[in-house]
Amino acid sequence: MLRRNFLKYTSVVAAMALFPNTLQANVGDNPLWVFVQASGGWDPTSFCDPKGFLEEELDSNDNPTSAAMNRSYANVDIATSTSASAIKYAPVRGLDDNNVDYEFSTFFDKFGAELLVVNGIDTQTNGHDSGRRYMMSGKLSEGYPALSALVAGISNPASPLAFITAGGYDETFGVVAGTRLSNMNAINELAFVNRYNDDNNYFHDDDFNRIKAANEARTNRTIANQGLESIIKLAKQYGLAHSGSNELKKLVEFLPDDVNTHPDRNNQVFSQGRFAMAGYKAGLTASVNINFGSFDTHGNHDATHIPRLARLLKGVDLLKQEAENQGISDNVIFVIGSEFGRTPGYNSGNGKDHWSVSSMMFMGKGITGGRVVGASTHRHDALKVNPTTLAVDENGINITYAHINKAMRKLAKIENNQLLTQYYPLAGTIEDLDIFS
Amino acid sequence: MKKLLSYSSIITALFLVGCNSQETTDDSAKVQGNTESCKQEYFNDSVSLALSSCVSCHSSGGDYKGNRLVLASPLGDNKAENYNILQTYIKSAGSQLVQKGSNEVSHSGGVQLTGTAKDNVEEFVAYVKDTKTCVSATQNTTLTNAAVSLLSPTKTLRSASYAIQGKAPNSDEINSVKSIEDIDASLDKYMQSKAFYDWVRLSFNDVLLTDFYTPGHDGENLLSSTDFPQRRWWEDIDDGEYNEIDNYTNYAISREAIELIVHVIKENRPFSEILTADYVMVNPFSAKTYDIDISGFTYVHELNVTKDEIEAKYPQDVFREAKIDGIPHAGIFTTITYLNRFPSTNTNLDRHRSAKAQIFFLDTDILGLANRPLNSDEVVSDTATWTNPNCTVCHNVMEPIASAFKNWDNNGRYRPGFRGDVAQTAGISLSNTAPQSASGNLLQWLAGEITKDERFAKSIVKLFYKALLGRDALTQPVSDDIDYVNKLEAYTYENSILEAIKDKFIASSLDAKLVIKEIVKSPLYRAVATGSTNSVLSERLGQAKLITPEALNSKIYDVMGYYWSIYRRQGDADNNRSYTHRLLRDDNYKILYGGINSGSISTRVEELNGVMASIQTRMALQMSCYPVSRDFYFPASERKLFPYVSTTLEPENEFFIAAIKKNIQHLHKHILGEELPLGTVELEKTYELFMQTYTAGKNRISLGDESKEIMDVCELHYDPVTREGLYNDGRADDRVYRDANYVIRSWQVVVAYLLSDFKFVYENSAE
Repeated sequence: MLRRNFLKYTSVVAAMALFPNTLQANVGDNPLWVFVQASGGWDPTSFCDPKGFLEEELDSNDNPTSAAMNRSYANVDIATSTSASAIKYAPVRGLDDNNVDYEFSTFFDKFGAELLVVNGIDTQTNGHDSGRRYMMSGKLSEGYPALSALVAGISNPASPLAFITAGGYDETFGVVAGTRLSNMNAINELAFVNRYNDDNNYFHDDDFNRIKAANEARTNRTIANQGLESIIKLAKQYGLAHSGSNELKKLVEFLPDDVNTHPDRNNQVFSQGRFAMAGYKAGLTASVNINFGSFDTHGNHDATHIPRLARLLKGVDLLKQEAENQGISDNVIFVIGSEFGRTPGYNSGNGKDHWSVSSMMFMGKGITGGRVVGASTHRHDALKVNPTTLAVDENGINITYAHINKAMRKLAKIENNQLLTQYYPLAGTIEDLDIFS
Repeated sequence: MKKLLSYSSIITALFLVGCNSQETTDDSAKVQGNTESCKQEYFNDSVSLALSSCVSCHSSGGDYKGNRLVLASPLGDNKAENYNILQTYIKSAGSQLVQKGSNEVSHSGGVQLTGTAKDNVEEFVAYVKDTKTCVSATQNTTLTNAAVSLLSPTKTLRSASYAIQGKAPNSDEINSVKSIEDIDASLDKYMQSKAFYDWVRLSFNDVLLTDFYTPGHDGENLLSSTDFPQRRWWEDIDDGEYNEIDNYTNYAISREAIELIVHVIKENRPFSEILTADYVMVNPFSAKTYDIDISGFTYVHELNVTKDEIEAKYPQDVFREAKIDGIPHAGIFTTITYLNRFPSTNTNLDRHRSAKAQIFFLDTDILGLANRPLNSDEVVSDTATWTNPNCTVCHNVMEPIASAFKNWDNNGRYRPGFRGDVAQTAGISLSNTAPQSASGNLLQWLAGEITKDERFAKSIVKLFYKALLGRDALTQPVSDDIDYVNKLEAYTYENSILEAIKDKFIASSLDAKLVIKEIVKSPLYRAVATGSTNSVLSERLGQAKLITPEALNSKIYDVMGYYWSIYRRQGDADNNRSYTHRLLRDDNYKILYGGINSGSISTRVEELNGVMASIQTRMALQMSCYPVSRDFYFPASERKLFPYVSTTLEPENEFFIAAIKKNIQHLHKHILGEELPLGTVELEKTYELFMQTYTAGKNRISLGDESKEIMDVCELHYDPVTREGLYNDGRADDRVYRDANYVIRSWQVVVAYLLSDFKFVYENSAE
């Protein structure tokens, strides 16, 4: 049975089948979407929306007080990307996974010209779950799939590896099945599921194929015999997943040889993203959720938060290189964000708490880099922008994750897909902000 | 197959009426007085949450606190209060609830009621004014219930048996079941088994995630060395089993919360004791950590003892109640790993702990209320959480319970007065605060209050529902949800059943085993078909759960008599060493198959993906290799898989063909639970698979293209029980490896086919 016969039965995918014109996307033409979620709530004032300490915030020993926006650098020392004058960043560094300092300048100088920074985003919440959900789906309350799932489900619905996820907000609501990929040895085994060793298979190929065919036929009979949608839905998921499992072989073909030996293999952003790039190269993967946590630094902020940022930036740096190596660098979109920001100044534990203003960073196909959209005050209050010009305008509007999602849907060319317009429309009046071009 | 379709017209008719009401012929006419219970039920189900948008202004902390309409927060424990407030307001002269809320008459708050929310409030107003007849959700449910076709009692028992003890019922148990109530006796028996308690551990760890600390994360290091100078007592031991003793101690400290739950169920205590227990669970090793000397129980070190001797005398998995001097124990709340899994900070002020306590034990999702947009322009005060209505809607619910944790520090250590004056008044709500006499034992007081609250019982019912069915109970839909009406119907149906179970749970003095039995017997678990046209409801009924890696591991063993291990051949008798089991190892297939590590991966994958499908196929292929040979080795009467055939029995005549078909019938029942008469399509299809494989394989052998022996990794050379070699001098060659006519391999194909089947890898009520 063809995969589409299972596809047409699966829950929301059943809805997609009603609109076959939306399923014609050519995998080769679509970019790989790499979503990097910094879980816990990052501090944009420590990197892409820099706010250093002021002269008047120094105590008698010339140390920044807790009221200072940042103790790690002075406001006068804020740096400018050598490749894009609009891009400002915090002149700090942090230890990477190999205990080697990674200078933020490395990232911002290297990628400034490609980088779009959106500052002063009004996250409208400072709850972790709701913030992640809002950033990734454009809806504050529950019920919408992550954009990463929607992109995968629409552009490559027949692939078993269309959506690779390591967590964060990755709800799919049946649009596509998310896949965890991490263990290289296990993936190798599973790619050649009938193989015992280099010389032998468990079953003669004819017998193996006979089992698969009989299994598929029986699954169809099972589906036809059920009286509950809950079971029909699961049986179809089962049929769909089994009908494509051989495609793991293609993934293995494209995985770099040094997955287990690369000196930066412990960088989670890098290691999670590599599988997705191999999957994309193999024509299997459309999007990946990379989840990188420990940003919720209510205590001892500078010592713990800045190294996490360093590892995140270095991970993206490594993935950019990986994309070059795979020959797909012109066809990748990076979306880097976090559920909310952190409070101006420090609490009594030298930490920073939740703050409903944040930033996002974007790079890749269709995105004009070297720019900053939106802004915030020195105390990190969001400034309104003109919805047409995107310039700061006190009579304008606050940029929210709903605006960002609306723009991302457009960038992904799925904004008119009937799955979105009928089942997952963005509620209310969300202005059309021309963020990316 | 759609069954009982004749009921669908009833359901459809009922749905068309909508919102549980029956129109009177004249809306202006008075109907016979609506009952309080019906109105209250309608309010709880359809109106309460719609008040969320009203309450930020119309509340004690809101801008319109002086208004005639002042509501309490629209969360569970205030439903009764808001019901009365709203009734009083509606009955008052000149009230314009719907008109104001929808801004049809001037309303300072603008439009707050639209769509279904407006319709529901309008309906409620009609009920209160007795201009419409109220039909309760319970009446609705009774009718809907009748349109659900149910799994047979014996199949229900088989399914529940796999769910809670990882194996099929025996034939006596099956034969004892005539009606659904008969399964209680067997379930009661299962709920005394070790496998059941392992399932309880797994299920509650999915919620509490305290297994993060076991092993390898040193739960004992969470304890204060000042409070517990002996926390790492084994460091003084310089002989023998230092590492083992460390592990045994760590295991006990990590599992204090989970073992308390197990203990309460095992001892048939009221389930409230999981929070009210004035003790902590210890094993012989953690007792020493806490300096608790229980004669004959607490570990006493002897020189040069072996690991086996220690395990024999001091089993690590035997726990007892113990009190630690100076600690006001409050069950799970005061265990060190719970308090560290859900830690606090000097600025969070235990709000995270409050949110978790409420979602776990009070059926209240505070963060759900945070779905409403926060306008950062308005949050300018330092005390916004106490004064700004945007904040108080959550914080008024959150703060009293957060403050009850104020005697425990950020690291979960008991430090009376730790929060000082920063914390607000402790309580279970703003109106029910702790008395001064409870100031030193606030969590004990809180535990008492929580467990008296009906929401505690409801929470526990929902926890077991998730454990058994793998899905969260539905939350009440909001009016702008797509397919709102169907979702509301499905929610109402499911919730009414869970409410009924909750009531029985309370009436039983909180007997957790009763909850399990009632869920298993309910249509939510047993449904196999429905006549309802509500697709949302149809997607919510019956068992439809991907088996967890842990459950699949047990099920494989149950049907094959042999575990799926990283060792591919002839290990010990049945490969019963859990650290070798593929589906239990984080570094093998457990995580890829959707499992959790209680840390960085804390939610299970519930939708099968391509990688997981490959794991299922790999399992089926490997488990039909050596384990098939192994089963053939035993006498026919002792075989699990092949009681009616042999390794040389070929389909040469009608008698042999009959035996093969009978064995196929047995395999369908044994592996899949299908009881199929001979001649049915599925049995014939499987026979066809056997025959095609046999014919093709035998033909290859005759052409010299195929070996006359099975693959070496599948061969059996040793007695599976005694480990004795089977090719020793002086004894018959009982090895299983010759397959001159391709019979064994044909059976391997059949077993692989069935092991990889949908009905094997899902817990489901499929026909």
